[in-house]
Amino acid sequence: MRLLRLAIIGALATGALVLAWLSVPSSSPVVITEESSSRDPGMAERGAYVVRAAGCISCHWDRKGSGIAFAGGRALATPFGVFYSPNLTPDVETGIGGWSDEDFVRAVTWGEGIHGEQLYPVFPYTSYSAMGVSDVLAIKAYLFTLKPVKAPQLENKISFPFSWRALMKGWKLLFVDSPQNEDWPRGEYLVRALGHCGQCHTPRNFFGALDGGAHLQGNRSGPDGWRVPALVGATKSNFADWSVEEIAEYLKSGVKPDFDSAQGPMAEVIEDNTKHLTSEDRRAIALYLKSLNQH
Amino acid sequence: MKVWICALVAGLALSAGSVLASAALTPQQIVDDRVAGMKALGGNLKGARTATDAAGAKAELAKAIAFTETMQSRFPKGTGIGDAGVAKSRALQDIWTKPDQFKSAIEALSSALKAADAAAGDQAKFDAAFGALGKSCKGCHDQFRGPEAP
Repeated sequence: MRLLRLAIIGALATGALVLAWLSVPSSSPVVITEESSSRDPGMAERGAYVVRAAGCISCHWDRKGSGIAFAGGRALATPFGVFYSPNLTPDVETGIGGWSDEDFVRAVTWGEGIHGEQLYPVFPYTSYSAMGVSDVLAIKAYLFTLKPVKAPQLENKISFPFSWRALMKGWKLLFVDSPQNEDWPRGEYLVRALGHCGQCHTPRNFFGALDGGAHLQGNRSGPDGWRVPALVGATKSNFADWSVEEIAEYLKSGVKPDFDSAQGPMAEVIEDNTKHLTSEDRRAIALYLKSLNQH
Repeated sequence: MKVWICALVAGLALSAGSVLASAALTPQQIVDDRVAGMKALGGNLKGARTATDAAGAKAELAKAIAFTETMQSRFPKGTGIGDAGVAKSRALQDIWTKPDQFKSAIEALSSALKAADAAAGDQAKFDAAFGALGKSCKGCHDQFRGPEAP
């Protein structure tokens, strides 16, 4: 009896501790090691390009609802509910106008909001964590050149328990490595960090975390209900047969080697992002993807 | 009275004609045949693009041009998404509600193919023609093709 009581007290205490830990706002220490600041000359110009490579606009623009680019408000349906993207324009009240460089780096690479709140991984910080700090700050510099737009955050429609943001702290502990700036070749960096291709093309586990062992092997339940084809070990599609030139051409024009065309979210990715990259970068992406299929 | 009879006869003849034209195929068979044709068209274009000489490219393009001439007839009304007897199709109803735009989309493909045919042998021009050709494929798909079934 006494033992049972002890066990119950122990369980309650552990639960309380976990709850307390989850509810403490996070503010991971951000070290801006390089001599870089979003105010450095040339950063905004560089950011205009990084923004394309990182695909920011595709989610942070409610195109169908005639919204303003980067002002957010786009709905993204996921197996966990519907998320609305936030406003990235430098409006102080509803956007990121009041954010410091550190705040921005913390959000993009750690998934921590300005008030220490946990960001949902629908924002792909699990990929962006491998971004170089100077690339992150270049994005910020570019965003701060935009016209501030007043666009309050729309409320996400997520079911319990996921509606409880603090839970993401535990999720991160289980599934996310702390940010690391990997020394990847350009193509790999574009695919894995900036382009965050795996966020759609890699399958997820029960908890919505990317299955690291199945990198780019396709995802049956992609965004907005789309089935996302495999880029590695493709059996159903013939992607594995595409040449480097054909992959690069697809990322530029949206036309596949068989003259079919990109559709759905990938058509947006090409239109908003990859067609604006340099041909060297498109080729680097193609070379990296090709290398994954040569084992 | 005479006018009425004439109209009736003409109407009967027309419907008999359209019945005859599609008598052999169910709507889904028309769709399947169309899909197979589109795949073959893609194969012809890829063949032309990767042909080692102008003659090879022209031979593939000739097949593509011939197919494109039958394009309109491959989209009889009642063979799109949601039509009776069509279980699987990606053809949007816009094909039939915006017939003029659909017609010009086919014409865009047709002229892009002819331009590519004329450019065969001149690599730079041929590349450019294929760029335009890809755009015509995409233009029509974006406008008139629905998403792939999950």
